[in-house]
Amino acid sequence: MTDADESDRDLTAEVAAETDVARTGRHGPPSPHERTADEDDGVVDWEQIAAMPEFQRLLRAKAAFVVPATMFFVLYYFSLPVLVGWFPDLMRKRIGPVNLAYAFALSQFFMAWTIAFLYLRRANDFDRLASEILATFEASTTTPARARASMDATRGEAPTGAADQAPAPARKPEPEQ
Amino acid sequence: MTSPETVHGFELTPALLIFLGFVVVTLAITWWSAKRSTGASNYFAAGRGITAWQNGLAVAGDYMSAASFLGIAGMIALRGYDGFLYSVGWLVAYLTVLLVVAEPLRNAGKYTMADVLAYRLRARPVRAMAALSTLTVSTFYMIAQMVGAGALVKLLLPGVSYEVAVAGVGVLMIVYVVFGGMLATTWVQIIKAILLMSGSLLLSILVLQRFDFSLTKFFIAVGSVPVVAADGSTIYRDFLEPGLLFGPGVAAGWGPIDLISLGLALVFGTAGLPHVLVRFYTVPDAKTARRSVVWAMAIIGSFYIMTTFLGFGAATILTPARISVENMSAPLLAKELGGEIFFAFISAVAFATILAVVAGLTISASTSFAHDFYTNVLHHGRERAPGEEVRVARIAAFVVGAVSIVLAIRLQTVNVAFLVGLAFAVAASANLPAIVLSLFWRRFNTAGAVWGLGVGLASSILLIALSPSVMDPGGNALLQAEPLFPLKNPGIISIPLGFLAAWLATILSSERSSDAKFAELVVRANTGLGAEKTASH
Repeated sequence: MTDADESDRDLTAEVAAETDVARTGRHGPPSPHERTADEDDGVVDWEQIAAMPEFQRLLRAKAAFVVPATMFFVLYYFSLPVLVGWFPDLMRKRIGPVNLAYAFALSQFFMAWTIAFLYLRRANDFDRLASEILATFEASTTTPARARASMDATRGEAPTGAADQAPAPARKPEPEQ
Repeated sequence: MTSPETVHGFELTPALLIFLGFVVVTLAITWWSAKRSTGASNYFAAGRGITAWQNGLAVAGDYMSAASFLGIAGMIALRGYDGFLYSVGWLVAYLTVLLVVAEPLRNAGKYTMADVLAYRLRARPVRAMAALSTLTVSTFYMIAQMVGAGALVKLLLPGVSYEVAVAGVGVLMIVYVVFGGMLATTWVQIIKAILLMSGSLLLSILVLQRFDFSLTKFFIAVGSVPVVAADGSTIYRDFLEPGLLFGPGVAAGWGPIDLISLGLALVFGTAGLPHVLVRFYTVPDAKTARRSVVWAMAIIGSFYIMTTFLGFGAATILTPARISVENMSAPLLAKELGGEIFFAFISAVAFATILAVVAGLTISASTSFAHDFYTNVLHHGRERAPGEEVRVARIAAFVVGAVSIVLAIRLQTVNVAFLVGLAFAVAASANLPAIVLSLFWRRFNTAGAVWGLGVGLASSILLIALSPSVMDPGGNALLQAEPLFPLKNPGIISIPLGFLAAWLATILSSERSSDAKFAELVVRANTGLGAEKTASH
């Protein structure tokens, strides 16, 4: 890491911590690198987003997938030891070259992969909803510049408190070995 | 070690050579990573620049221990179907990781599991308990791995002593973590996962070749495996038949309940294993974290399906009579099918497996100590000097490694396999309730988190200490006594206890957690707003 990187790194460790960055004396809101963690924290009105109907819809959409999927896989998985443990005669029944016990155990792998695949597909909708919410929120914020600025402030080691949704650029894969 | 002709009568050099090749490559990676591991997010989270497939491989490499590779294959080879039954839970567990924890954790946390817990609760008590739980899980798991490594060396490389093996594994993991940080650890895990998968695939193909690539022929052979009966005669058993390990007739009738209890610990514990959770901080965003879990599931699932061929293959081709030590079935099968070089390769893979897992454990333990305990509990979340947190973590990694070496050498003769079960039980009973309630229950407060973590941790440890894993009248365990708790796996009791304690302490405490902070956590967890970014180099 170069010295330049070092200098723009916000070393403030946590919200409410002191900062050793001195004010330059200008008027108006402090520029991003001068904000303390507390000031940074207040940039986003979290409760405003939480109250948005679109956000509530996102939470409901997620729950509508995650809750039944979790209940299903837990039931499906635990029926394996229950059936094998207490109904061994049933599980001895042959299906082709194997028995029901093996076939059911093997089916667990495909069950897990299927749920994972379905979730991966469904989660694209969640991502879209989330980025719409953030776009609406940014548009409704009176000072979009502040949100943009706070994004700069939180680069590197800064604590929480940014207000952008631009997905972090995926870095190139690390060079091979 | 009862069958010298299968263990001793071979040339050692190939196995050692292949393993040394792995060591040289991983040390080169460490040297390369060391230059990039400056700054906290580079050191603790590999700069958050790991891609989805890389992290998927690394999660698989972090997770699949020698117990999976050698232990499950051996269990299937000697006990048949129940060994395979055992392996199912290790994959299904990742659905909890995928659906419940990976994305919120990436969105709302920074370096450790406790970041999410401390978000809206009082940071110091919660972090102190979370660090204690993390260190407990990691240390127990690590000792099990290191003792296993030492025992393995005696079987695979008879020229190397237990102490040398343990010290070697320990020193290597310290070097990876202290100098290379998360980046080196990640690449060690990726390489290990690739080695493990290719070794298992090759072995599976060689097994199927014996049966003319006909699954029908293979399963017919599995249906009649020659077993030496008690009276010395050979009987043929159907190895697909359940009940040899977990049947109602085994373990005084507690068999199936014990299996369910283990299943609970796996399915809810994996999502609370600190060394698995920290992996999700190494990717750029929640979407990548999600995709990396699916990658990991593809790899881990394929591996456990292949244990069918590794385990049943050893049962049919070698037959149980020729498997002298349970854990040796996969290497012996490799020797039978592919000769010395393949045996050497599989043995080296087993060591690479252990190294990658212990490196992951070391970095998660040292990160938690430095970030949660040192910086946030002792120093109120303030670094006294730039880079202090990383420096403390490097020292902690060194200490964790050194302590593990000493403990593993002292525990050489003790059967410590139960420590893996204990790690999962603690993760499921202490960590998971705290994470889930913190993310989803508005009313949850500091008292709930502290008591949930404490009771989950204490009840898991206590119940295991009273279980047949520790108290065995036959003298095969730590204490020679009648067990006071019938199950080997405490999950079925300790997980509800962890949740109950968290709930009860919350409603009995007058503390109200802030609605504003809960709104903030929920928005962050679900939208990724303000999530930690990829480090800019």
